[in-house]
Amino acid sequence: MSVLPLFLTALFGFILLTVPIAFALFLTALVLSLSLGAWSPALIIQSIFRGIDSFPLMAIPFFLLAGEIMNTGGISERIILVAKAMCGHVRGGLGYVTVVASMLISGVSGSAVADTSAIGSILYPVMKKEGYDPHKAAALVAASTTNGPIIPPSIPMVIFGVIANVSIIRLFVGGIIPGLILGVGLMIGWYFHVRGKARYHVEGRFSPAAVLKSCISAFWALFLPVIILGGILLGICTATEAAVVSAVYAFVVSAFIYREFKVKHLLPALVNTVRGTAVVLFVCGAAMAAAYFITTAQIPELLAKVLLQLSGGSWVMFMFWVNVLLLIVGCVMDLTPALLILAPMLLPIAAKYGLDPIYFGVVMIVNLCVGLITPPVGNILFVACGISKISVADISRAIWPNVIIGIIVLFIVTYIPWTVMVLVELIPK
Amino acid sequence: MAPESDAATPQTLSLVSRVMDTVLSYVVAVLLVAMSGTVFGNVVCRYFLDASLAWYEEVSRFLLIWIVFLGAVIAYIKGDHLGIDVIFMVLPPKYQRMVVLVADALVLMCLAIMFQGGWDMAIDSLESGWVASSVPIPYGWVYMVGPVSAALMFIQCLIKTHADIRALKGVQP
Repeated sequence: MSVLPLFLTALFGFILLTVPIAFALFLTALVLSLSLGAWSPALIIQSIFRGIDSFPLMAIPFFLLAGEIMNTGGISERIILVAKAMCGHVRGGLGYVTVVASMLISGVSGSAVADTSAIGSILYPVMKKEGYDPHKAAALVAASTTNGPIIPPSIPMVIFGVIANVSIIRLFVGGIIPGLILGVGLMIGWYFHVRGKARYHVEGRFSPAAVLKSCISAFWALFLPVIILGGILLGICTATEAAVVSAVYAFVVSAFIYREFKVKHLLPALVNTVRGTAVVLFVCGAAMAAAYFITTAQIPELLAKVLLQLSGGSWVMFMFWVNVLLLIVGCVMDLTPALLILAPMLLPIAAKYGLDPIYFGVVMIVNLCVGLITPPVGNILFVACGISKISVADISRAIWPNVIIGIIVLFIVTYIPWTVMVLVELIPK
Repeated sequence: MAPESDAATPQTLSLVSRVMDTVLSYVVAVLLVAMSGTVFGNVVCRYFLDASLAWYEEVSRFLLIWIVFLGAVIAYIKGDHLGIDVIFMVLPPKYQRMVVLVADALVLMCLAIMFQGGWDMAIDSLESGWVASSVPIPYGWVYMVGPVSAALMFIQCLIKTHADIRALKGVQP
């Protein structure tokens, strides 16, 4: 049985030679098909098409488009002002504003990287001006936007739902409590950072009138998360329908009510959406092609044997090793490809342990979100560096407490499956 | 992420990239608006007019396929495609340039095979007269975007390879 070493050598060989992951997966599929004596480029192309040809996956471009429009059209800005009125008056208040605003904006946008640039470009300069530790402020922006793919809507969850053939809506619902726990965890971490430090002065007082005023000005913006979450949770519409409605809604509000989204913003918003979609779904199609040969070569069975030996019969140890594996992979690989490559291999093993695929998917995504801020490869980390003009090395030093908080939250979610499932079980099948 | 090729590409070649980028940008923007309109239109019909458009799902899926394949070309021109360069970054510059060329060669091979496989599949579908169930669109035309985008990315990769060879030789623009 030499297929597993061949597969690993091919995939990692191509990736380390800096071949883009989508092409590396395609080449790996070719190598595997050759070794299995089933050489057929047309078959591989066909599975790429089959991987992309999916109505549920269409939620991805629509959620990306909604995010693009709300970030250029003044919607994100108004949501941030609400968060500022709510908790801008305590010591280091803008830090809490960052976390709360990320959670609210995550409730509309499906892309963590877009959120990082939206929130960071507004809040980071203010924090720096107010005398906050710039490294800590940039690290907090990065860490709090990892909530994007955990709090619904979430593009990785759309992908996982399609791979695992489970309800995307139930995955979305499963992410709500883990996302809240992560938000609270980051705020606790920030509290310990700012406590007793003179550079974080207290400014102004809490005023209900100011909160009300900001809420009125942001009424149409705040209504957007309500539509999306409400529509999805009440089971009125599918994820794709909610996504297209939110894109159209964001367009109408920012173009005709706020009048900040102009004609000149349209083409960049559309093209950025297409670029983001193509990158994700091209990897998705190639991963589907590779998955076919991975299954044919019985690689999941081999991996299952290794994991079974490591963890014995207990799901506790199994999830421990899965988390360790994913944290290592997440350090060097972006969320989407890691999810696409590993989910089809790990899901059948998780099923053997009797784990619910919804629970397993949420844990995988929470884990890989921590990977978004771990050096050396962390897309959010890079965006935060770009906004703050701080080097990757400096921000990496400032972010480690947040990474530890993320890992603690990950283990809470892993070993208390209730956090994921309690809301999921409320919605009818 | 694959390293950006430096400015070694002569002007005519970079003009080819720019034209391709601009034309494709307008095409995908129109396709995305059409896809959003189709799906949103169906939501409106279903919830407010209590009627469903029979053709919307197939048409929107076809549009998504075209968007992804043509978008992949734009993403390739912009160097968006996800990759890993951790090990690569610690290599000395001379070896980096050699690794880049090996990667270029692999991507060229990959695209050539994609073109061949995609072309065979599209032609087979056209000849078999396989048509979508709700609209008279032959599947062959849906699949034709595969070889088209492979060919466009092949041209882009040739331009990049050309620049990378010049960089290896130490030619400055």
